[in-house]
Amino acid sequence: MMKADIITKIEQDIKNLKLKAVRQNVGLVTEVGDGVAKIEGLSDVQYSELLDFGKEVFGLALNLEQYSVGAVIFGDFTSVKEGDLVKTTGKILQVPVGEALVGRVVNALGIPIDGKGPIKAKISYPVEKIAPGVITRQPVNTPLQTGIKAIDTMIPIGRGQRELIIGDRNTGKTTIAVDTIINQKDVICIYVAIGQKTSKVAQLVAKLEELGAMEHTIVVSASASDSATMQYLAPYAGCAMGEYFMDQGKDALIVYDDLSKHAWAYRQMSLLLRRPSGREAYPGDVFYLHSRLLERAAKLNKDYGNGSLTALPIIETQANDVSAYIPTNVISITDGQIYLEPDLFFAGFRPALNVGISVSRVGGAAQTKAMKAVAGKLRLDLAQFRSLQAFAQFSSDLDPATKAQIERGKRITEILKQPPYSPVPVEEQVVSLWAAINGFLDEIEVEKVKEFEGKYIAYLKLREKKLLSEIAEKKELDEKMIKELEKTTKEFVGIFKKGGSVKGKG
Amino acid sequence: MKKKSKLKKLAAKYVNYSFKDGKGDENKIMKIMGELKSLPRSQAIYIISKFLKGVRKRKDQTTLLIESAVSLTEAQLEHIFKSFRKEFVVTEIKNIVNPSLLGGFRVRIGDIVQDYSLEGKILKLREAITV
Repeated sequence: MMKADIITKIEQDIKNLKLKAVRQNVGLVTEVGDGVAKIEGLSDVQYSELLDFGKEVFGLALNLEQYSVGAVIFGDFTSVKEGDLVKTTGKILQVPVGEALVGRVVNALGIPIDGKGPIKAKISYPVEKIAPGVITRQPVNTPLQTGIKAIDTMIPIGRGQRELIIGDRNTGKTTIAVDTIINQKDVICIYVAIGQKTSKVAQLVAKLEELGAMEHTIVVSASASDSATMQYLAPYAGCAMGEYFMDQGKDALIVYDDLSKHAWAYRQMSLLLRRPSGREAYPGDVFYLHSRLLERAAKLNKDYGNGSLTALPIIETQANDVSAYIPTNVISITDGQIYLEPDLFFAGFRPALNVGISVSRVGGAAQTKAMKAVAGKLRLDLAQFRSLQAFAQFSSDLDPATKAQIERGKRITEILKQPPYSPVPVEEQVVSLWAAINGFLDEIEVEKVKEFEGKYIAYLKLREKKLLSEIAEKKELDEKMIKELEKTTKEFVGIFKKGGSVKGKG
Repeated sequence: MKKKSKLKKLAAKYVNYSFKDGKGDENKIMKIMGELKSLPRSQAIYIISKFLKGVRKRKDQTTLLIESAVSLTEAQLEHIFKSFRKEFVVTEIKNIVNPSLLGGFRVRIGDIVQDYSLEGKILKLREAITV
């Protein structure tokens, strides 16, 4: 901004200023500590109203009692003293929303923390909002491709769905979410970091920037060093930012990483506000805390712009215990869960997905025909493989059919392995899985499956680019395509077995 | 817990009983205090603190507190009182001199504040021009 512009803006601000005395509702701080204040007075305050403590410190009214109000303070609460005057503002807490936030890292109040200057957002949305009603919604019908083969085939996610990612620490939960963000092209992504190490958030932002995914991503960070209030607010603020895009008829994706820490932050706040505690010392409304947040994910119908907000909440379990209080709550709210297991992770199956317990309750309806064509058989083959594998451990003498089934299962498992930050486009997923379930990999050694897959895709890109783009466009596998694919795959298997090099058409 | 909420309700009832048309009846308040003192000590401490809090709160609601940069004359106080009398029940007027207001005055009745001071105007100006 130029000097003259600043002066004009200040002049304009002064011109518009109304200095007439306005009646205000006030209260006095009687207690303050740990980011929580008790205020006497404020008889007209609304629940969840923004309070002005003066000296640019704000708070949120949460406990409305007969003579006093319990409030949480944002930011530096050390400057608030007993006897300070507190004013109501008549405003419900809002955060800036809009395109200007894309590519930025902000805190729970929407204030930039990436050092790239102020955000010029024209619109603000309330942090707390009632979720879209039944009339405004439509069933999930469009897929949201994560780029992860195991998920897109067996646990498909639709736009507007809420799919929980659950697992112990260090099992690759964040990686799945980040892979999904990287794989998006037309979807605005919001990553909400709650109670995480600042270094981890910085690392993640750097990774997203490196892979060019920051161009369609907003990062909302309330790290471990931020107050519990900020951590409590962050997911709601991120959700408001996502809702703006949904209201504009666009598709948005929001990742809450993670909601266990969010529940901890809320527990801390509630205990300090002296609310009665229940199981595991969580307050009674901890279910509503997450249900009202996740209900805001929706697929709107045509009359309301066709937009969607997909939510990927993450929950960290302790020692694989999915039956703890918060995990069971969130499992019951969401439309399915992706369950990650440390045993699988350390055995080298990455993503360490437990296909048996992982489900997607509504995503199947959103799967493309091409994907459905391979997914059905894949699920069946894998299930048979798993049951036979357990059985085969006890007997060495197996009939050829069982042996063949186990061998194919091993190859399919191998194909489903995927390194981090390398999402695969749908058409490539379809062809490589099609080759695996139709037995084209049976003659390839298990150790060489990954090499085969890489070369096979490269070969197809070189020889059958048209076929790949046709699968991507039509989103189905018709008989003509299958015949062509069969021919090319057979050709390639022959070349691969001979160890030959790949040459393009013409 | 149940006992406490019972005592709380009783205290609120006594507060209502002690006031008539916004004005506190000193005799009634003293009588109630005497009665409350006869309760078991733990209960008495709790209910008296609640009762006094309620009385203070109720008294604040009818006290017109005028903070001014300089001491105001009787006529000025009367003028302010007249403009507030229409909307609020006022039983007492207090004038506090607070030089930090720089000029003008600030009126408070109960939880309502109306700021006519120079300090308030300067603060508003600061808010308006802060980017």
